[in-house]
Amino acid sequence: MATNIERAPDVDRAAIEQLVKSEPDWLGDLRRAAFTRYEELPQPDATTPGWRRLSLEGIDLRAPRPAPTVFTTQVSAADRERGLVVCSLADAARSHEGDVRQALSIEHKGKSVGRYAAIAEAAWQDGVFVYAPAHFVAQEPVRIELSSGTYPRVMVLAGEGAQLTVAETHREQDPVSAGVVDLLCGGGAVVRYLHVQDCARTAAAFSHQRAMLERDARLITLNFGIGGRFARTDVEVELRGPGAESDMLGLVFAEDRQQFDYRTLQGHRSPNTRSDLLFKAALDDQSHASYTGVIVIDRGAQRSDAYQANRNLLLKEGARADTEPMLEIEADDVRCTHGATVGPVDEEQLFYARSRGLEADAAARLIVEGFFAEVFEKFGNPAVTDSLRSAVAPHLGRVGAV
Amino acid sequence: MADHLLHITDLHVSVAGNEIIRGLDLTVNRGSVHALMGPNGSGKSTLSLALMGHPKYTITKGDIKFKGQSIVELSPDERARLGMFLGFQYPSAVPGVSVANFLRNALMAHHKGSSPLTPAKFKQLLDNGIRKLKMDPAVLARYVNDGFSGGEKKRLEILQALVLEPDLEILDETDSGLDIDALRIIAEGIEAQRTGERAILLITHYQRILNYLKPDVVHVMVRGKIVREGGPELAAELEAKGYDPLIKELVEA
Ligand SMILES: Nc1ncnc2c1ncn2[C@@H]1O[C@H](COP(=O)(O)OP(=O)(O)O)[C@@H](O)[C@H]1O
Ligand SMILES: [Mg+2]
Repeated sequence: MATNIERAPDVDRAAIEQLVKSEPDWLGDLRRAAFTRYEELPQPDATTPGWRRLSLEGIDLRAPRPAPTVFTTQVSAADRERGLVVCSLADAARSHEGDVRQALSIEHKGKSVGRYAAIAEAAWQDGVFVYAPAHFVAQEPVRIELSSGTYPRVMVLAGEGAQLTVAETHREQDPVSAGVVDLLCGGGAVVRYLHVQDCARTAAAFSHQRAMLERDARLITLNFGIGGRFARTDVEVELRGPGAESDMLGLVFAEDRQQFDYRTLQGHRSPNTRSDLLFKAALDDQSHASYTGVIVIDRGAQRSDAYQANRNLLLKEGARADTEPMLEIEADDVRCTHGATVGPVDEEQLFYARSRGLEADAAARLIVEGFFAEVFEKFGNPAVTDSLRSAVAPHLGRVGAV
Repeated sequence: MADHLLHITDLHVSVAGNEIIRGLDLTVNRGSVHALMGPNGSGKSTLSLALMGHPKYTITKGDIKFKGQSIVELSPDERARLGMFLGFQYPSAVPGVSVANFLRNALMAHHKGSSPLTPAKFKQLLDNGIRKLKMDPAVLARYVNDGFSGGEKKRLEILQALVLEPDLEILDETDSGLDIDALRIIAEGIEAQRTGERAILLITHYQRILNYLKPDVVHVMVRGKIVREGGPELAAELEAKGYDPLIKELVEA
């Protein structure tokens, strides 16, 4: 049998039992239930519905035995003093047992609770817990960097009226990692959440992000993908309370044979809710982006607005993108628009910039930079996005007119 | 004559398989303002885009000389750096790229290898232009033409000309869709750029802007050719009688 000796063995129930030993019973029960879900879901391959557009050849997607999450956090001392909690999730399961237990026990309506979310829920070995008490207004962003680990788990709890920004950067080198992020936004809270996926170019990186918004809460998320060989990201936002609002942003820069698979859910469960989604991908070489965006507006969610746009810029002839919107709208008094584009840099824009003296490559670069800048600016916190612009810059150096 | 800034001979241009410019001759001298007039669809924009080197507009015959050099093989950016400028009838939006950033890149492309563009010099150039055109300085932070009104777009085209200081300015219907105040400001902005060295080729459908900007030469274009040339009085005649008598005359000939 040809096996890769470098590779960690697959996860099994014994590995989960190992984790459960030193934990409260309720957590063990949750882990076991999640593991059962994981076992019941088939290992995706090229024939699995929802995976057919991807080419998985040569990518090992088997879930490995859990390896501990290694992370650092950066928090302003003043914010800590005023009540902001940022700590290891394993510690929080004891120190903030009630909150953590409640958050982990939420039943998610999400459409894509899949195999990797299930194994991440079963096998997480530590992660980060962020807790902003009611009406807490953070002065500085909370920065989280994850450098290693198979099943990172992040939980952000924003109390009523709290305001904070969390910037989470993934640089795992592990061949496969699958993380779950829970964002719980209390009434009137304003939360910005940035997720950067800059994992090793050989890695398969899964991230399942779930947000729950209470009345009048506002959540702005930005998923920035630049690393990994294969990345699948699910972003599910549940607008549970009336007046809740969510801006969902996504930005991918892909090259070589990188593949990015994005799935989003805009779940309108209450009246007067608003969601505005803009996912963009710039695709170089032979890279591939796949986007599936679901908008659900429940019968009771009247006077809601949902917008969805997916823009793909093909920088080389070998690059490709596909996009699929899915609408499930049961309310009648709503506004909903969606649109998608796939194509090379616009010829008229290119000509316009060249007519001002810019060489073809410089013109193309400027246009691609602009394509990105629009999203960074929408996120509205340059303190955490400026470094991303510099991360993209060296890659843009290769961009030329097609 | 080597002194012509722009010298077009027997130009034929096709777009989407149709010949639109059919044997056009036109000469523009330094220091003068030329008006190019003609009915809608006569090929004025096609000519302007072909002059600037738009890839969709193919030159099938003839030659364009700028500063004595044939430019038909040059790329649009080479033409720009040589001193040509086109104020577009329909300028493109460039989302995510601020006006200031766009202009900085354009200026740097123009001055490659020569004296560096200091931030102070750049700011002064922009401030100057903004003031002359009575624009809101906030425009500099907005994305190029993104969500601009018709009038704002036209002003931005002129602002770019002011900053880039070309030798030849081809302004395609920069006067259309403007209210009377905006028209005057734009005309003054163009007038301010009149120097002994620079030439302006003003493409217009109406004589209105010529009340503010006296042309030295008026060319009339119909169906891809120059059919009449004259002084400012020709524009007045067209304004009074319209293009119909001219077209009729041509059909009968
Ligand atoms: N990009 C294009 N594709 C197809 N046809 C074009 C294009 N540009 C111009 N034309 C055609 O060329 C003719 C002249 O148009 P244009 O140059 O815009 O005239 P004007 O500017 O004088 O109104 C029209 O019949 C127009 O449809
Ligand atoms: Mg025109």
